Amino acid sequence: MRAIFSIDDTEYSVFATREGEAYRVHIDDRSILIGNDHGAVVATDGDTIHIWLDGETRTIRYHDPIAYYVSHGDSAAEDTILAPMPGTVIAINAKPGDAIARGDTLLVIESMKLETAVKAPRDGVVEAVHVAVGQSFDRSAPLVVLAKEPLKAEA
Amino acid sequence: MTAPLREITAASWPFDTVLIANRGEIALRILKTVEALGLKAAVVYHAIDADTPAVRAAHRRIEITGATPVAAYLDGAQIIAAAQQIGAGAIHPGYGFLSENAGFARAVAAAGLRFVGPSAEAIELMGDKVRARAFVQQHGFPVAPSAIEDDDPASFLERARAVGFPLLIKPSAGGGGKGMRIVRAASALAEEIVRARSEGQRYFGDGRLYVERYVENPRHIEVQVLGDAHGNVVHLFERECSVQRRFQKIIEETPSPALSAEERARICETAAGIARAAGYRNAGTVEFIHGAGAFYFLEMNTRLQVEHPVTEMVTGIDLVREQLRVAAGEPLGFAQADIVSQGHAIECRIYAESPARGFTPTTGRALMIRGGEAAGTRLDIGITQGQAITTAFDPMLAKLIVHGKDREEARARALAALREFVLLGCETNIAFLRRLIAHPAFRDGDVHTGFVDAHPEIAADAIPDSTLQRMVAIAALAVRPVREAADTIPHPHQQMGGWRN
Repeated sequence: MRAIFSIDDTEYSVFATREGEAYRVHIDDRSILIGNDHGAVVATDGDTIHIWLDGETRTIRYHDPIAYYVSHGDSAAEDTILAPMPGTVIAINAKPGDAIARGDTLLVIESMKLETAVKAPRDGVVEAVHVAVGQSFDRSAPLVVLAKEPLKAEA
Repeated sequence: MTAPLREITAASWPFDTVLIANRGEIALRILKTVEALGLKAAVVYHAIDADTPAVRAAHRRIEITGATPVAAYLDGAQIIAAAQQIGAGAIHPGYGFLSENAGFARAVAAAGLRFVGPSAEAIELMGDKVRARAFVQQHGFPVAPSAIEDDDPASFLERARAVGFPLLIKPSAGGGGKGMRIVRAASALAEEIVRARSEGQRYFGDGRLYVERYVENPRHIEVQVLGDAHGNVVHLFERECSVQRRFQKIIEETPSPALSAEERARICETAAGIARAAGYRNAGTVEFIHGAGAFYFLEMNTRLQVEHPVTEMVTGIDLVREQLRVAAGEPLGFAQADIVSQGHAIECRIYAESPARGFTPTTGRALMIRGGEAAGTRLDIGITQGQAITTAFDPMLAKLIVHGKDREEARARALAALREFVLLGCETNIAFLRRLIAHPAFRDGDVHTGFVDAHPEIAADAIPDSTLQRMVAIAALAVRPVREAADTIPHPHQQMGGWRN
């Protein structure tokens, strides 16, 4: 079974086989032989793998195969508004049940001493607001969830 | 190399405990010198910093509280009470926080303690940018041609036009680049003044303005000065800090590659002259804008600077030790001629931020920290492995400082130190710093304060697909299901070789 890894938005489909003392890692349509002398430094934190190699650093996510295929069955990601950068919530203009239009300001966040308005990416209804005024959050933290778009009835 | 000093023995210091009113790398850096002098170091800390190296290493630690962590470190009354509670005789403010707060300096003295820094009057004079500028000009030192609205509001527009273009409009009450506007043509001046006034009003509640001649692609050069309570003032040469992002320095070096020996002597003498005119005591830094063959006074910082280690690397003088000696009332232990600059030093500021995302701050946990130990390398770091990195404070995590016999050797050492430095668990600007120092323009010393903006390719964090794939391959083997699957899948080579695990 192939495992899915990602760096930012790029996904890699991976499996490995043993090759003597080393491993052959198959990534998409090519393969790389990795021995014990790979020279990288790795630190893992749950499903997040931080890696340093030759002066470059990347954060790689391992996607549990079952969770990955389940989540890709619907469009959950597009319904959740993620924090563009770490910061603090200054104001909240939306509550669950509110009907909102694309471009409406849902909340105002402060980061680097600058205020930024977080706007609705589409028309819809607010399902949940995951933060409170004064709360700090990390980048990519879920801020607001919109109710799933109802399927449009065929005319 | 260190100039001869009259050493103070532990018994003859007028204080035996120094309270450090700061955090992170600078608290630890001050603590090291305090202890090396045979004194005791006490540190105030907010609970969020309880596990940091300076707090752990301190002889005494006193928790302070506040509505936010920053507010705790700005609470002068609480910090003075902490100093009195443990019997500290001096307070070192570090940089930032209360270091340039005249009211705090006064309150420390009123409490019968010594403030490790200049007089409250000097802080006040230099803290008011318009007053500082007028003071420097009155004493015959170079300032950029300018017009100050307050001098005669009715003729401001006319006087501003006479300054010449391009010019920079600044709010009198301003700072940090807010509300500044560059005007390149006389026809736009009146309109830009209206906008700048509205911004000044909005940001600072004060619409007063001044304008000064704008130097295109300027270099930022500053000079370290040191004065004692007996009227002696020396300079410890310059630092060039032109490589900046969002008005914050990223790389500092000394000597400046931009100055001839003659210019260097002139700018350093000017700085010492300004400090002398102000009766300046303790460590300070005079900042200049340099460009088109001229230099102008910009401002004076009345504290220890973040980038002071490059000066220490080339002069062999421990600036914190000198600050403490001066605060103890000692005369400077050396004259100008005793101070020699040897070789070249470069400091790289390691920030928790994403250069590719517009230098926005990043958060995480320092899962792994390694490096900074090579020859000619100094690492000033205030975080420890396992520590959470939050947005509660400034994003600077550490400073990597290198020294070499000349600029090329220092540059090579910086590149090697950055390449080897590992910090995992939070995105940093380390690879960006390496690309910056490797850039041909930096190699040639051809930089200015707009350099980073002019070269967005340095911030773009592109690495070859082959490296990314190799990273994914190694990362995959760190995941147990992937490795276990590999160990159980029969492979032709395993079968042939009768390989067993």
